[in-house]
Amino acid sequence: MSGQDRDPFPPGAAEAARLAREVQDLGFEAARTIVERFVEIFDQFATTNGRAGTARRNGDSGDAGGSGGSGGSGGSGGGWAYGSWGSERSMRAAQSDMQRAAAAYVGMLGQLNEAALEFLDASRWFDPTRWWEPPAAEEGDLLRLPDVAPGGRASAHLWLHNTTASAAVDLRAWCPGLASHSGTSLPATAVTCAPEKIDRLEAGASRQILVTVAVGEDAPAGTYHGQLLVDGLPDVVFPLRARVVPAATKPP
Amino acid sequence: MTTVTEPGAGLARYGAIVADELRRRFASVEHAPYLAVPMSDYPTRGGKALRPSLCLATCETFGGPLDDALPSAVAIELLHNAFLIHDDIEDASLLRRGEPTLHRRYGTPLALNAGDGLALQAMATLRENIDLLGPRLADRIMVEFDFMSGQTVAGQALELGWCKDNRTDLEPDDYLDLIMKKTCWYTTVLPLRVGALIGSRGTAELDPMIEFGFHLGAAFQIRDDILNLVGDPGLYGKEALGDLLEGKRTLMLIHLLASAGPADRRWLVAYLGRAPAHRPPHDVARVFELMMTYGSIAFAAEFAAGVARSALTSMDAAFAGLDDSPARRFIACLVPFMIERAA
Repeated sequence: MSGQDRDPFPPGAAEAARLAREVQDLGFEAARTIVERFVEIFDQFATTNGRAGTARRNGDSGDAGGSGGSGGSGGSGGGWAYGSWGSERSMRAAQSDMQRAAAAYVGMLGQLNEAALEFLDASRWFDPTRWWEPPAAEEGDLLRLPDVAPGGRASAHLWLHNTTASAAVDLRAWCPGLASHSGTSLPATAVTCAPEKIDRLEAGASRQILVTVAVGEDAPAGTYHGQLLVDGLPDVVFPLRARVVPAATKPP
Repeated sequence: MTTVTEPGAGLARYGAIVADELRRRFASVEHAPYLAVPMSDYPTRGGKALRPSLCLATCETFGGPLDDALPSAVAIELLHNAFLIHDDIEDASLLRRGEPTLHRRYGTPLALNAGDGLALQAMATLRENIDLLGPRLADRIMVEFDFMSGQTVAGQALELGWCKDNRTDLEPDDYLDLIMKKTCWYTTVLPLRVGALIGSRGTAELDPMIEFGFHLGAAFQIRDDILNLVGDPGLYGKEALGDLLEGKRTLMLIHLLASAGPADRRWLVAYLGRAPAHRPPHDVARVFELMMTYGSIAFAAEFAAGVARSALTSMDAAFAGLDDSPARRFIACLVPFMIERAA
């Protein structure tokens, strides 16, 4: 009835989402900083050890022989790598801005109300569903659903990765149906995907999809093939295979 | 936009190869009383074999034969299990992969010795690279292992030292520095770098592997810390809230120390100042409740999401110019698997 009724999120959720983004940005930036530092640390280590420890961008292929570092000590002076590179204090000082930002975000997040935290919890990490299933017989770009008897259901997961530089919106995975070599088929309605729709998938983000095939009681045994398509992504095609087996031969 | 299946098939394939190789190598000590059994205990408990799988798949992605990377992958797994044994003793842990820890099963002296045995066997395994790959490439691999082993023990020392000195002034970047040393380098960065070195015969650009490995490994470790609090112990394989009992400086604890009100913080600092034996279960539970109250777990989850945000794009950079292959797709599958795993 009111605008509030249509709002699917609890009070404070918008603020929680904003803070979540800020904390994510903090993590992203912190990761970038530490990676740069360790690239440098390893280079110093490899040089000190008198070896071409890493293939460099300047074209040193690294394994071409000889001592890699001009300042090296012939392989005997490097010792062991447990963190004696410059002053730990100076490294910390270089990150002071990030630390101040961290302290600010930490304080802000601590003020979130309970409803907002519950929203965060439910939206990301706290679903204890175990998605990793026993391994399939083979690998490859084919989603093999477990064998299923007539009247049964078979499910398998796949992941949708947004490897583009921009967010994708309103993604809906679907299957036009499955067919066997002899012409028998399972209709489009037999295949469902959960979630039915992904509202938004950020650049670089991933989302799991559960694909379920419901086999009718009268479905003939056989191997059925089909393709999963994604509404909104014209180039994505993903092959599916479901094997309908007589009830007596279905594995336990 | 890409779609991938789960990594289970790849893990099973690579894991079986590594398991066979481990069995073959353990045969060399099978007649050593009091050594063979504890040494082979953890490696045969059915771990996920993530590290060797990542190394083997990276080698294949760079066009190298899997067999070339096998000694290095096995060495990684041996060292991993050696680290686990010593780590469990240091932390007085009760469970590992759902069973009693090695020191509880065989006593601390034999467990320590088994850990030493695994580490030494790893070094012997690496020596095979000289004949297999040539001395120069074998030497570069040794440099990688030297660096990694130094980082790992330095990180472990840092974590133990923070607990010993009851450090309560830590910040998120301290934690990231810790896990880069303690976890990421040997879990992801080294397997990637060594696999790339072998697969490319020493020509691969290795710096991008640090970025990809860190995004992957840090998110993995933060997730591991969260699972210790909210995971199903039946799936997770370790005792619930063990990190809180040990007073581990996780991201959640660092957040809580920074955001708790004065009275709660005073109580928490006093709690951390006591030895683990003097931290009763109701106090451990109170720390967990405080983390929920102050949003510490949500903070860590979002922070991890940020760390992992560019894992896939950094993977593309690390494997730039290489053909699509089952091995490469397997690594792509590992990204969400490691970041959002429940066990």
